[in-house]
Formats: sequence, structure tokens, C-alpha cells
Amino acid sequence: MNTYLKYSLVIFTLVVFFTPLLYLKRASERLFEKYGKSLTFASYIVSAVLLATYITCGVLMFQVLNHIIKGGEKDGER
Amino acid sequence: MAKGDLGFLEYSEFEMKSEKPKLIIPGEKPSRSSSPPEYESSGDIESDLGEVFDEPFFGKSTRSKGKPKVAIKWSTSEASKPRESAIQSPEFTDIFGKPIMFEAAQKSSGKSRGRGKASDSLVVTLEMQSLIRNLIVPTLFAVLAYIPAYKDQKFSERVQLSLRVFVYAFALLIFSRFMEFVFKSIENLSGISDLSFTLLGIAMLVICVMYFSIIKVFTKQL
Repeated sequence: MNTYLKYSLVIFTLVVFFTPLLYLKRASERLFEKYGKSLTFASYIVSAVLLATYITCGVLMFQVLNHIIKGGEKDGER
Repeated sequence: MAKGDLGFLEYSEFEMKSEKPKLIIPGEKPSRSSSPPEYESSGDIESDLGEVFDEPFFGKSTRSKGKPKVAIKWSTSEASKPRESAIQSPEFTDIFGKPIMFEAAQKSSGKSRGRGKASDSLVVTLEMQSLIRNLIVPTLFAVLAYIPAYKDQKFSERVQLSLRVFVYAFALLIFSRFMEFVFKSIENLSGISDLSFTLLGIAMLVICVMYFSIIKVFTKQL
């Protein structure tokens, strides 16, 4: 696989992964403004679950990318 | 007032004023020194022009003491209204929370123009724009992947790799849009219980794991 393509795909994946986090940040800020005082321990756990979900997605994303990069290199070496 | 005959036009029938009537452009403040225009527009330019030109321009006018109707004025209340084509929707905001202004592609279908039609065309335009935007980046990556990295790389391998990269990039963009939608929806939720949030989190986890598994299998198949 082309080196430029490899790096550009990694950068693209990072950008795509972190862009929705800006929306998550804004949403959490608004929610804290609304229910800041009435937030329970359970709400924090729920937010942690949501964040963990997102991180899992990121891991899966990079797995697929790794698979594509490795596949491209194997094809080239053959 | 001078009276006479110019052959085809009796200008005695028109009152010749020293001040020329002004055309007032909407949005501009009319100057206070000039006298107010003689004619106020109803807002519809076609009917205004119809009224102005419905009498014969050449030949004898039927009016005895008519004043020339040449000034078309849009009242200030009309001018102060926001343009109908500019729609400011709170649903469409950028990541910093500022509302985005869109110019709706309106069809000039007579007097049946309405906000419903404008918003419909706006939604279609936005969907098309987002689809095109989502296709541009994967296509660029696919083109980049088509460039051979090794001398002995076959044509079929290059095509395969570019297809894989295209599918991967497109899937990532769709995932990103989906997550943006989910987080925006969370922002507007009110009165949702913790149990519902947990269920939402679990559902998202399942959906995303399935989604990426499908992409992995699909890219392997390609």
C-alpha cells in the first residue's frame, strides 16, 4: 500500500472519530446546564457506558483499517 | 404649465413636476427631504407593473388629470421583513451552536410560493449536498489507492484495494454522521430515565459492533 495513502487514512480515521466527540461535549454541557444539580451516580455510569461504547467503536474502526492496510501490503508483496 | 401638442402625445395631460419621482430600493431608507412617492406598491411587483402600464403609453390618455405612475415604493414594513428565501432554522447548527442560514432553492410558481415548499426543497438540497460531500472524500481515497505502490502490482489488486478503501472511508463517514445525529438527539432529550439511557447505550454498542463486523467481512470479500 502507498505510504501516503496509509498515513492519510490514519489521519482521516482520527478526524472522523473525534468530530462527533465535539457534539458529545456540547450535548453533555447542555445536559449539565439543565440537570447539573440533580445528576445522580447512575447518570455518570450511563455516560461512562456511552463513552465506552464510542471507544469500542474506535477500536473496531482501527481494526478494520489495520486489516485493509495489511491486506494491501500482502497483495503487493505477492 | 406648458401646454401643447407633440403630434402623438398631448403632454398637457401630464403634470410636469420639477422633482423626479424616485424608485425606492427595498432595504434603503427613503430620504426625508424628497416628497413621498405618489404610488405605494402592494408588494407584488407584477401587479404593480400591470397597474402602471395598463393605460396606453402612446396616444391619448383617458385620464384628465392623471399623474405619472412611475415610482414604485416598497413600504418599510415590507423591507424590514426577512427575505422569504433565507430560512434560519434552529435545527441546523454548526458544532459551535450557531444557527446556519440557508438560501432555499425556490421555484417561482406564481403566488403559491410558501414556506412549506421552500423547506421541502431545502431538505432535498441538504440531503443531496451531504451525500455529495460524503462521496467526495472516499472517491479521493480510492483514486489515491489506485496509484501502484509496487512495480509488480496487478491491475486487479489495485482495483480491489481502491474498492476496499472506498468502502472503508464511506462507512466511516456514515458512522460519523450517525454518531453526530445520536449526540444531537441526546442534547434535546428531556425527562429521559437512566434506564432508557442505559438501553440506548447498549443498543448503540450492538449496532456499532454489527456495523463494523459487516464492514470487515465486506472488505474481506472485496
